[in-house]
Amino acid sequence: MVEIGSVEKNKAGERFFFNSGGKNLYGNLHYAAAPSRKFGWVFCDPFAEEKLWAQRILFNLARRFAGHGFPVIRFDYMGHGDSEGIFTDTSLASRIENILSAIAVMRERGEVEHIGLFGLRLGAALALKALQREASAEAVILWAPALNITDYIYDCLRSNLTTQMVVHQKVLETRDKLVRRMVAGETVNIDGYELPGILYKEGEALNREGLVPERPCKSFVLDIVRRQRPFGPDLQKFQEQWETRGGEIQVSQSVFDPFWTELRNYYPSAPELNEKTVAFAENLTG
Amino acid sequence: MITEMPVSFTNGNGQILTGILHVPGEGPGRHTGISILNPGIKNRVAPNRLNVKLARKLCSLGYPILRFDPEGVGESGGELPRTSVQNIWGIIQQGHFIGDILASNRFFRNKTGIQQILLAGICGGAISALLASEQDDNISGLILIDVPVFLEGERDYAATIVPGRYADMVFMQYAYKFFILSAWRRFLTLQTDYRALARAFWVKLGGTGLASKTPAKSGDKKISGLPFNEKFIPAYQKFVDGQGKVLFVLAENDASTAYFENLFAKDFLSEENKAGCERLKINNANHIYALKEWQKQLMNGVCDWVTTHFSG
Repeated sequence: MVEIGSVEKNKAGERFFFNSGGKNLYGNLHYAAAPSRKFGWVFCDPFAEEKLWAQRILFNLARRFAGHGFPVIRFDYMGHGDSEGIFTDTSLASRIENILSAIAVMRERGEVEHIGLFGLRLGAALALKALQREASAEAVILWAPALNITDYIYDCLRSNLTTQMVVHQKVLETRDKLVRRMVAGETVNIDGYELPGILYKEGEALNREGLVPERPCKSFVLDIVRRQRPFGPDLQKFQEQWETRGGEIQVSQSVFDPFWTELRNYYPSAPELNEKTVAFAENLTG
Repeated sequence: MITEMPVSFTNGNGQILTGILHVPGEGPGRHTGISILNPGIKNRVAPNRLNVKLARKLCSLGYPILRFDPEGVGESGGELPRTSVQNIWGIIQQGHFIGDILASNRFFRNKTGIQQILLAGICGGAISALLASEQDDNISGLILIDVPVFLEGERDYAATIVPGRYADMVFMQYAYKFFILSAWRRFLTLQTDYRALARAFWVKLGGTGLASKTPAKSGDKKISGLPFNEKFIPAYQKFVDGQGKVLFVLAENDASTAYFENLFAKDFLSEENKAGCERLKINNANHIYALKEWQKQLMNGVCDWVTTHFSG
């Protein structure tokens, strides 16, 4: 158990630990520039090493939001970043619980009247699941959302295969074998993170349940691609379901490197992505 | 019980740098603090939370720990230039973060009352630690994990060509692979490091005559213009001459290990002149110590070294 230290404040915001399910999570509240729009955004980070690669761009997006009058809370899920806990003990459910706690912190500390959720990659899927439980959230922004969770886990497993190649010069355990191990409740190592087996079963369940809430709110989806292309089938289906259930959805595409992975170039921010996203948020508040 | 708290301080450029201070609870009351530096462009958490795990383990042994983001990284103010990652590694390897480390050391001492500091870091954090040690006499020990002895960056291609000894090794490796089917498959499916291959052949075939020799002894200046980081040896020599202690941790499968062993350790860590230095090599490990057993060896090795040499 880690004891919660003091809150650290400066003119840009405050950094602190807050409780979620008995664990202390690290949070960073970015203050809104005056006048505040009273519309707070809760950032739902991506998964494992993607979170680290994407961090600076999301940090600068948060600063951009704050500069336009939106308070933002960024936080580390249990077992991630500076938060308490061990990665192996986490699950998709624990992350959704953490998002709900962060929403409560935003309401308590952010002086807001409205809440929106922002998510990148798996964080986008988690934001959608949190929406199903926190119906008072009024908008959601999804960047490069992982809309098929088991496919996303398959992608993650590639890194395990790469490590096997480095260590053994061949693949000893195929992807299917790794999946079987996860189904049996074992952990699988991805870039140094021990993925708990429960993630796979949870991913299958989320795929069955679907990610679109019963009463969808206003949403903005940004498809981030290396080269322009038609929207993928998962995204098209998602858009149809959202509209069928009466929700407003804007889907846009931007050409940009996948900054949540290791790249040849360093990007401290993503101006076009920020521009479109902040414009959507501003339209919400008039 | 350990307390972890967000902290911030200002660097010489007036930027606010943010970090986490780990304060041990009841215990021996150490006078030594350990600052664990961020690796290159990644933040204070480090790949797969290595810095967090190491900080919590060392703090449980009674050592105050500081982890912070330098300017332009993580949650700190300022920005790194928008350029290639290699170029940023290059400026870090030349000491870009030294000023921030010195500022963090002052903050760490003032905040906790510690009398001596150990600097630890992986990769970019390791070279930053070594270079910063030249400018702060209160640094008593260095934990350098996969420290790069070379300079990266997309400057003049000739200036980044691999040194002769390493080129020999790479050349032999590829010559051997000539007979291996899977190597050809990798070559044809774009999985080969063509750049390293081209450089090795370039040097072997005579290139521009820039195939280098490793500095033969301390103070040898014949290394400028080559990828060997010319700041490395003076900083190292000054530190060990001042009775500083160094732990080098090496991942066997990390590319920097071959450079380290061929360009530095062979001449500078021989039996007769390795006073104050220890080397821990972790078999099979990759650059991020992905597997649990590698992480365990890393953590245990570092903790044993720290408690042996800095018990106060």
